[in-house]
Amino acid sequence: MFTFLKRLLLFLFIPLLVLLITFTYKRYDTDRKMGAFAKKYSILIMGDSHMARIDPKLLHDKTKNLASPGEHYFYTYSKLKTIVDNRESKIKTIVIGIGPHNFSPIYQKLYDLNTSEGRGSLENYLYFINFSEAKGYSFWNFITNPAFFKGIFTTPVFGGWYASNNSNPKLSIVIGSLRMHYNGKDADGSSSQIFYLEEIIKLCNEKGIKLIGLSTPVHPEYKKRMPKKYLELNSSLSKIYSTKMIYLNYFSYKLSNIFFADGDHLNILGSKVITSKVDSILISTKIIK
Amino acid sequence: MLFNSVNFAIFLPIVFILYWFFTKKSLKLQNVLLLLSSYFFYACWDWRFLFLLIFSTLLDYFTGIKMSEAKNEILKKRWFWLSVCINLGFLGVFKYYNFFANSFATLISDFGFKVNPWTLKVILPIGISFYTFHGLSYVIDIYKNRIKAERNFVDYSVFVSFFPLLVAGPIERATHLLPQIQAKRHFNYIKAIGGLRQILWGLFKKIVIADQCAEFANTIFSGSEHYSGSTLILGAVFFTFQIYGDFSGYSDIALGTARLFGIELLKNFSYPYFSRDIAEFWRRWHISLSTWFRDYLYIPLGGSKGGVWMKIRNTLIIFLVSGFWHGANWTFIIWGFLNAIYIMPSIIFNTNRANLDIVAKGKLLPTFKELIAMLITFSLTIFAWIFFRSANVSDAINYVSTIFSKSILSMPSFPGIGLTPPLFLLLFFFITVEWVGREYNYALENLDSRWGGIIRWLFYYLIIISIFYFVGTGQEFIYFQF
Repeated sequence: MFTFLKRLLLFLFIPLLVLLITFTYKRYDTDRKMGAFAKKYSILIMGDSHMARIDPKLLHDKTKNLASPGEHYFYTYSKLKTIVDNRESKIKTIVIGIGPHNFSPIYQKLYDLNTSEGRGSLENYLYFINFSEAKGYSFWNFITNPAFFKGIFTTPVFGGWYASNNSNPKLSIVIGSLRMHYNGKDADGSSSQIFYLEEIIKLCNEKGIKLIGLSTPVHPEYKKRMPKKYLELNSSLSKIYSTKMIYLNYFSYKLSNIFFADGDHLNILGSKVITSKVDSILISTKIIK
Repeated sequence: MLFNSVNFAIFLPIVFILYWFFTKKSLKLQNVLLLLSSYFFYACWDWRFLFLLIFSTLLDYFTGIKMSEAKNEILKKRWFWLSVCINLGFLGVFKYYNFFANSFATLISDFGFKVNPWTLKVILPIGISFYTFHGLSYVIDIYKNRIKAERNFVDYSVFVSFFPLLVAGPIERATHLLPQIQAKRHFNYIKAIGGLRQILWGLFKKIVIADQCAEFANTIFSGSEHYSGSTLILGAVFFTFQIYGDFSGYSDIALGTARLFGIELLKNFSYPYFSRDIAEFWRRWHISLSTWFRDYLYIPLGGSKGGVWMKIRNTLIIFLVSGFWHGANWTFIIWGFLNAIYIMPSIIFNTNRANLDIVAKGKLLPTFKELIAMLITFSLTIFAWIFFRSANVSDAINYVSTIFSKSILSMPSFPGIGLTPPLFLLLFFFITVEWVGREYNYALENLDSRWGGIIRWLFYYLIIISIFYFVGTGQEFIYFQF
């Protein structure tokens, strides 16, 4: 029996050691990179794929885009906290994406560790997570999730600017984007997104960081077909968030077909238009001098 | 609690340590531990159905005792039928009631009457078909005086509920398992290592082969109208590997787990896709169920003793019942019927025992004749699986019609599916390992004598890495629904 256990432990020791070393090194490396961002940049662009279309090169030279596709606010919050908790952080402004789609059912799934979307998020953002701050999950829930092990070997998704050369999306593509976000008219929204957006606001207030909310334009056909509930939400977003931050709502901003890569994402042309609008706001509010 | 979950990976070592370190000196304590952990394992799905399992256990335990104590045959028969009726009654209510209610309503509506069937909105208690068959085999064996009634309730309960086999078999026999539960068990290093190896191979079959094939099979079967005949053939092939990897993987984990506790379960699979005819396939596929039907249905019906017509009738009956056992759907019945048709010629011409040994025994490769025989059997099996997998009969017919259309000659295409060469490589690796290990109980059994320590460990690590790489799609075991 003891020989069996001894050999079994020896057999398991090697992969466990590999896991531990990999996890520790990659965690250290992620923190180091985030620390470098904290020291180097003063403006961060954060959020999901909509914000990944904001070109930092067209803004202030100390701007970094850390937005990544399908990023739940929990992971945005985790990234942000790692950066702003750095003692030498020079971050003064955060531009964060807040559009009606951010509160759609797909974002609830992106936080749910029991869904494939949630497990995908865990894999991609594992090294940013502050486990004690995950609402509804314990450390145990994370380490017993199969995605945790895959995440150890997955390169963490820092995010960044994404330029798309696609244009004039077909109607089927627009409908595809809608289906992905709303998955049925009456589907429930994402309460976890609301919770972590509030946490981001709180964190920025604590650290004296100016927060700018941005809703990027969507394709007219997308808007036309959106569930009523989310169109109403779009109208109320300005009311809710303009008291808590500078809120720029370009959701209904009219752009023609050539500015869109698909139903809800700007292409490189659209990116220039909206980035320049953000730039002028940053200048007018004296964030950029 | 799934075998392929982290929870099980925690549960198993805890029970193992308690079993061999804290209860080692007392067989009674070991059995109590096995019973409690089995109930905990079952309650992790739905604790409410634990009462049904306990009731079913109590029923067969007491009727078994009453049958042995019965002073005459009439009384014995009464107790026997009481147990059979209640057991099958539960199975009927939970598994088949809605099927019969809906089928009756459809039949009545054909005569112009409108009936809204009253259907039950209950979920199927997991493993009910398996533990019911455990209990039935026990009471039948007592009734036929093959065994004596078990008086120790804990021992009997472990026989019914032993967690490795509780939810998807193998369907055990009291004559095989009960003596092992009652005998003092000693830790055996070789067996324990073998158990771990079998668990590892089972996990590979489930997570790497079955779950990966499932993604493609599910997509192709759910949108079969969008694909060409050649693509649908591939979809059926993927399902063929999925169901084998899934169920035989489960059985490997179950057998390996039981071996860790010093218990040998009945073998459930023996490389069925290397069969040269359908009779051989059925001796190698879900062996514990096939032999159950043989012993408790085919032979009591007269078996093959009463002439050709009786053989045909009995074969048809066991295959139809076997199909129906899988679920209340006409697709399963057609699947059973197809297999009955396949096997019929060998039953009629008495060639069903032509291939008793494993193919190409002691050789590296099969002969050309053996290869052709294997391919024909494999193709027939794939065709039958189409009915097994389809949601309903019309879907299955449409699927088959598309296969036998002009598009069968086109190149398979997978719009919307990221089919990648690694899946084919994985299947090739899997088939190769199974082929090389086909003379043993499971493919990796003889690894010790083939490879030295370092190469063997590297091979295990390779399998573990692939399991971790592919884990996460979270597919349940197919046979849990039966």
